[in-house]
Amino acid sequence: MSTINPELRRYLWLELSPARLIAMPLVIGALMVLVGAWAFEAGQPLGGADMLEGFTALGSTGFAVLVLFWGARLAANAVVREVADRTWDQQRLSSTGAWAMTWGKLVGSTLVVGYGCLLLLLLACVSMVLWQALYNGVALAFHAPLWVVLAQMVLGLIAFAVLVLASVMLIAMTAVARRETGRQLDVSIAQIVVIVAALGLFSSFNDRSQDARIVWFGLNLDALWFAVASVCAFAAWAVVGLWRRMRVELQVRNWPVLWPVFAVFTGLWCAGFTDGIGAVVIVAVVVLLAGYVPAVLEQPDPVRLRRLFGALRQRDMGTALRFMPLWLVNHAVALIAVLIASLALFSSGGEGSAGGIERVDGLDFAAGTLIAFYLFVTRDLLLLVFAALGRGGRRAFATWLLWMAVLYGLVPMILAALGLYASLPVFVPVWDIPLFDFAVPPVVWPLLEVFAALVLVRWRWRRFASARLNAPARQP
Amino acid sequence: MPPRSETGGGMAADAGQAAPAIAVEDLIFDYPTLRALHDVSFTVEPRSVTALVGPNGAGKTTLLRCMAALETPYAGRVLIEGEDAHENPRASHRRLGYLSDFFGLYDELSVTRCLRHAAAMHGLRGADEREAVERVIGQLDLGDLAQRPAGELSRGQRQRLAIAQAIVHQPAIVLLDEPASGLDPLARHKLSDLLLGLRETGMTLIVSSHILAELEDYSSHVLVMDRGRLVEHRAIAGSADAAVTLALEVAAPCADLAARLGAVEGIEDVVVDGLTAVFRAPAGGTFRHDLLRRLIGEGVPVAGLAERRLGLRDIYREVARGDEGQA
Repeated sequence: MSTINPELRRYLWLELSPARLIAMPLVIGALMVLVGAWAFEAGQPLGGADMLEGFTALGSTGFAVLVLFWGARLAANAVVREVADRTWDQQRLSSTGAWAMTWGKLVGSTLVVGYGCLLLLLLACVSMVLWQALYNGVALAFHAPLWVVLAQMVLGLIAFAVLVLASVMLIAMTAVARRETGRQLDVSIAQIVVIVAALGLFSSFNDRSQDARIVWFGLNLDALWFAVASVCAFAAWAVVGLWRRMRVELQVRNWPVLWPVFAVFTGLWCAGFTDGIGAVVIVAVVVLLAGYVPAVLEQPDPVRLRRLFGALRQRDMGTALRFMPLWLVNHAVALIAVLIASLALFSSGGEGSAGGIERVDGLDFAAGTLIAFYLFVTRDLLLLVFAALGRGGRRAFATWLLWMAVLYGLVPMILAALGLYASLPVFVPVWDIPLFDFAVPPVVWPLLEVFAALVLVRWRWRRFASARLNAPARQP
Repeated sequence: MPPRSETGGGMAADAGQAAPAIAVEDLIFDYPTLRALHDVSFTVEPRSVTALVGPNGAGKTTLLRCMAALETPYAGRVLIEGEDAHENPRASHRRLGYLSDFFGLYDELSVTRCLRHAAAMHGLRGADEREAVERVIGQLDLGDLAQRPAGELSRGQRQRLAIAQAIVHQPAIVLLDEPASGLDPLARHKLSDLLLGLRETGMTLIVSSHILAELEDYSSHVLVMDRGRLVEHRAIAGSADAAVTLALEVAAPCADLAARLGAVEGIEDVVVDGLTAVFRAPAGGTFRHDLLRRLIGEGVPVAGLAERRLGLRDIYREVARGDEGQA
């Protein structure tokens, strides 16, 4: 009895054609000829150490390039194309569970890339083994046993591929759920975001210096193993995020907890590189900034907000939590993190530095930066809601981005050029100016802006109020 | 205007009646700036074919998508054979088949593979999957097309394949949104036969369409939607459980005729026009016999009582006239 995942089987039928099965090794073979023509040394076993090193690099780098430029496109297109081809409703109507759908789509949509990656990984491993066996090349280059380098490469590359493909599919699915922006644009944006992030990541662990060490939460760790473990952890998060997104698409009820938990995890991961109060501040900042991601990707939905307000009015907290936007839950968690960090800074007092952050005074720092920062982010999120509630809802993100560029870039630059530094706290969180150096404390300005943004949102909300919907109206 | 519903909320509770295949309760669906469904409630009997009709923008597609758990309503619930579709959508999808008005197919896959995929997505594996595909290929007369890619099929053939995909897992309930759109007359005729055949196999169908004549061929009930509201839900004449429209003629003007008729249990929607009163009443000779005896006993100068057979088009016209009158 066939028990293969139905989505995987569909992709097997569609993607793995004999032509592709033959073409892939031919292309890789051609690239090997190219590397061989450049590095071949006559009279040396198997063309020399340089050629075997070249094949190893071809295998690992080719793997990453294939994942980033082709795999990411296929993964992003997996759901976007289904929506465009009107087959997505059929999938959503099936009784296949969210997890089966998640892994079936993730593996299936990138099958042909997976096949190429498998060949490239084999090439890299075999070349590395021969390079070590014939020339002791691995030991000389990486100062580590062959099995360690091999394990790090294989684990790192596979985790890297999962991270990239799951992230890009997650971003594309979230964007396409808005059913507003251009499908291909969603694919391209998702791919660009992940490529930029992944290039930095890949370069960090492609530098195979085995001597590098890293201090994380006081532990002295092998830098490369740490990078591999981190990529594995974030790859697991990406798959969990994709599964959660699939549950949303399949109309399975979800609670808005995963994103804030991920934000705290990321904050803790970043905080590990510093210590003391600096670590607490970093957690707060990362959690705070993490709120922008779901806000931008999902964008405030008036119907969802109406459900939320309705449930809150009826004091139905279960329903309210179900319809609570992720960015709002995250922002509530961020408030707790900011308050904890502020209290920690306040209670520490004294001059000096903490976790590498220079402080004039604990209280000033907390009030003048973290709290102001929280208020500025609150203002930004409210402005995004304001933009999303406008009549040009489809251009909400572009409009909001323009406002952000003006508020955080253009205006502060003009003020700085005019020498009006004292006015900067009106537009940006100040980092090192004591609270009481100003006639008006710097938190007052963002507080006023939050109030103004709330007034604007409330004004625009009138159009969406439940009372206005009761009159019969035709669909657009 | 409150909906006129013969098979409304009370029916499920009636002793001896089968549990409804679908129960829609106080359904509200919102788009950002408009309410697409206003407190829609009705029940659908098992093994019935319900025609869902209404003008463009009436909310037919939104209603079907909510029933299929493809959209989350603002309020209310949909019970598919007693299971809340929005509490457990995957379970309700096992009992449900849905054909969207703008459906897509996997054009590169053959007809057989499209059906195998649809069957597998509903949890059928191995021999069960093969049997389901063979059965549905026979049922929809797709045998000659089995190895053809879906992308090479004609509009009518694609429609048949899409319906086959929707019913491959033998759901108890099938929702079809404009299944006849774009089909030529012959293909529409075949579709009518097919839907009648599905009803014979015990399926409950809800079919939305603009083409009333075609719906009349196979529908047992009609649901009329207008501007997001359910304005009519009744059985169509000819179906076993239809209420009937009766026309009573009197020999001389009778001032309180409407009130007298309205006081009789089971009579509703009384309209008196001169010497004729038209009203809806339970089917059956016993009721008519009792009514006549009662009216004659009360001194009403009865001259005749006859049944007026109302088809789907008559019902739709009647509802439309009622709406115009209200406007």
